[in-house]
Amino acid sequence: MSTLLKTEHLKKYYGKKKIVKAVDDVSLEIHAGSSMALIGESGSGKTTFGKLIAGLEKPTDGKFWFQGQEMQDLSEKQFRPYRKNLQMVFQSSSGVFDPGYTIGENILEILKLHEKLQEGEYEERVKEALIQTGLDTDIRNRYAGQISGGQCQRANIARALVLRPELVICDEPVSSLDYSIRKQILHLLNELQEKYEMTYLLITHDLSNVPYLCKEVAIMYQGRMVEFIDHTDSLKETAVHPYTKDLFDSIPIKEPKMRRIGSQEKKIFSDTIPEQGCPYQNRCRRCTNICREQIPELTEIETGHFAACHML
Amino acid sequence: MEQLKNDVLKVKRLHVEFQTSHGIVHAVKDVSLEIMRGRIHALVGESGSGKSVTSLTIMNLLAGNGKVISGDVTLNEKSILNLSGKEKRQLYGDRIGMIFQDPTAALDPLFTVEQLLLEGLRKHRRMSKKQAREIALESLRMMNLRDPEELMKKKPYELSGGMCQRVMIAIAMSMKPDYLIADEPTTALDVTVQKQILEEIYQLSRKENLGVLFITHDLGVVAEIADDVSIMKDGEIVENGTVEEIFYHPQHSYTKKLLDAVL
Repeated sequence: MSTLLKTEHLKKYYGKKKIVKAVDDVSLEIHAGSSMALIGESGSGKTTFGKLIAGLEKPTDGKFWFQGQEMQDLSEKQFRPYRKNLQMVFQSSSGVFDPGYTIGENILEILKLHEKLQEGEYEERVKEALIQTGLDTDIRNRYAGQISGGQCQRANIARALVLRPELVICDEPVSSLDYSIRKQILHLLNELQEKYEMTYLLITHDLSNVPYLCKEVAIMYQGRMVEFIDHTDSLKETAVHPYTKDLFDSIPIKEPKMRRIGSQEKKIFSDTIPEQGCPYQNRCRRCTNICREQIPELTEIETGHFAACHML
Repeated sequence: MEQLKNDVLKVKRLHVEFQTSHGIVHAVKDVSLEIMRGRIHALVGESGSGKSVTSLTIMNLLAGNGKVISGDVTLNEKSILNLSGKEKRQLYGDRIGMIFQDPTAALDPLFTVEQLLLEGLRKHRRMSKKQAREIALESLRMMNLRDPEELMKKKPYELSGGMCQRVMIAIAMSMKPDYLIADEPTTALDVTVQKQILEEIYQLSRKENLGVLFITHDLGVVAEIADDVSIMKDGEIVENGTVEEIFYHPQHSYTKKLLDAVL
C-alpha cells in the first residue's frame, strides 16, 4: 500500500505567554485505502490535528506530506488543488451549510470551485452525491434548517464526497446523532469506502465506533500520541497504555448484571496539565518518579503496536 | 424508609400538544411514570420521542405553544401543574431540581461559580452568606471538584465542559432536593468524565435518598445506572420495567430494536 499522508513531528502550539500544546510531536502514516481512527477526549488535540492536515491551520513546527507533496509551507492558493482530494466532514453538520442557500446550492458551490465541468454535469454530480449518501434528491431544494440532524449529517458527507476525494477526515461524524442513526451513518461510510476505495481518518472520542470502521487506531492524550495499534480486533485486550485502558474501562456496557458503578474507589481527577514529564502522570495509577521527569517516547512493543509509557 | 412510602413524584396519563405552524403536534400521549425516592428511573427514547417534553412538563417549563391537554403531575398526590408563581418558586430548585444537557448554556457566563451557587441557597434558605458559602463549597467537593475555593472565583467559560456539568449538578444538589430531573446530563461529555458523573448521581440516589428521572438515549448508560426503565417512542411509553427486565426480557419490538442498535 502506498503512503497517502505522512506527518513528521507535527506540532501546533497556541498562545504567547501561556503556551498550549494542542498537537505535540505527532508522527504517523496513513496508507491509501486504509482507515485510521484518532481517539482522544476533548482537548486532546485530535480535531486540531485534523485541521492541520486539512490545511485549515498552519503547524507551528514539523512536516507533513500528502500524495508525496510537502504541504506545511504551501500558501492557501497552492494548497487548493490538493483540497479536492483532502476533504473534512465536520462534527456540527448544520454549521457547515450556509442557512441562506439550499443544500443543493451549498454543495454546488464547492463543486464549481474545484472542478470545471459542462453545465448539466454539475447538477448530475450533486444528485449523485446525495443518492450515494442515501438521501432523497428533493433535499437539494431544502435549507439546512428544514431537515433533520441525521439528514443534515448525510448531506454533510455528500458535500465532501461530491469531489470524490482520496482522503476524508471525519471529525466526530456521528456523535451528535441517535444510536439508530449512528449505525446507519457508519454503515454508509463503510459502504462508500468499499465502493470508492477512499481513505478515512476518523476522529472520535467514542471507542465503540472504531472497530466498525477502522483498521488502525491512534490514541492521543494532551496533544501527544500515546498508543498506536495496527489492528482493531480485541482492542481492549491489546491496549497497554494506562490511558487507553482507563478509556475502555469508562465505556458503559449494556449488561446490568455486570454493573461497575458504586463499587469503585473514588478517584480525583486533576485537570491541571503537568509542566514536565508524562502528560498522563496526574491521572495515572502507575505513575512513578521517572514519569514526573521525562516524557516517555513512543516505542514499539510488538510488531505494529506502539506505546509511550515508562512502565511497560 | 416507612415514612417515604407516599413520597413519590408521579406523571399520570399525561397528554401534551404543541400548536405549530404545521398544525397540532401531539408530543406526549398518555404517559405515566413513577419516580421514587432513592431510585433512578431512566426514560429512554430517540430524539423527538417526547422525553424532554415530559421532563419540561414536570418542571412547568413548557414553551408558550405547549399545552397539557389531560393528565396530571403530582407530588405526594397533590397536583403541581397549576401552581401560583410563588408556589412554583418554592417547589422548583428546592424540592425538585433539574440539570440540563448543555451546561454552558445553563450557567450564566457573567456570574462566577460562587454567585451562581449562592443565588439559590440565599433565596430559598434565607441563609447568611457565610453559611451558604459553606454549603456551596461542600457541594462542589461532593462533585469531586478539586480546589473548590479557587473554582468559586471562576466564570463558566473558564471551565471545561465536564467541570461545568459538575458545577451545574452541584448547584442543583446544594439545595438537597428530593427529586432530580436529569435531561441527558452526560451526552455531551467524554466517557471518562461521564463515568464520574454517573458515579456521583448514583451515590446521591443511594446516600441522599434522591429520586432521579434520568433522560437519555444511551442504553449503555441505562445499564450502568438505572433501577427502572421506561422506553418512549413517538410520545408514548411502549414498555417499562426494571433494568433487568428490559435488558434480559424485552417484550416490545422497539425495545429489542434499540438494544440491537447499541454498537
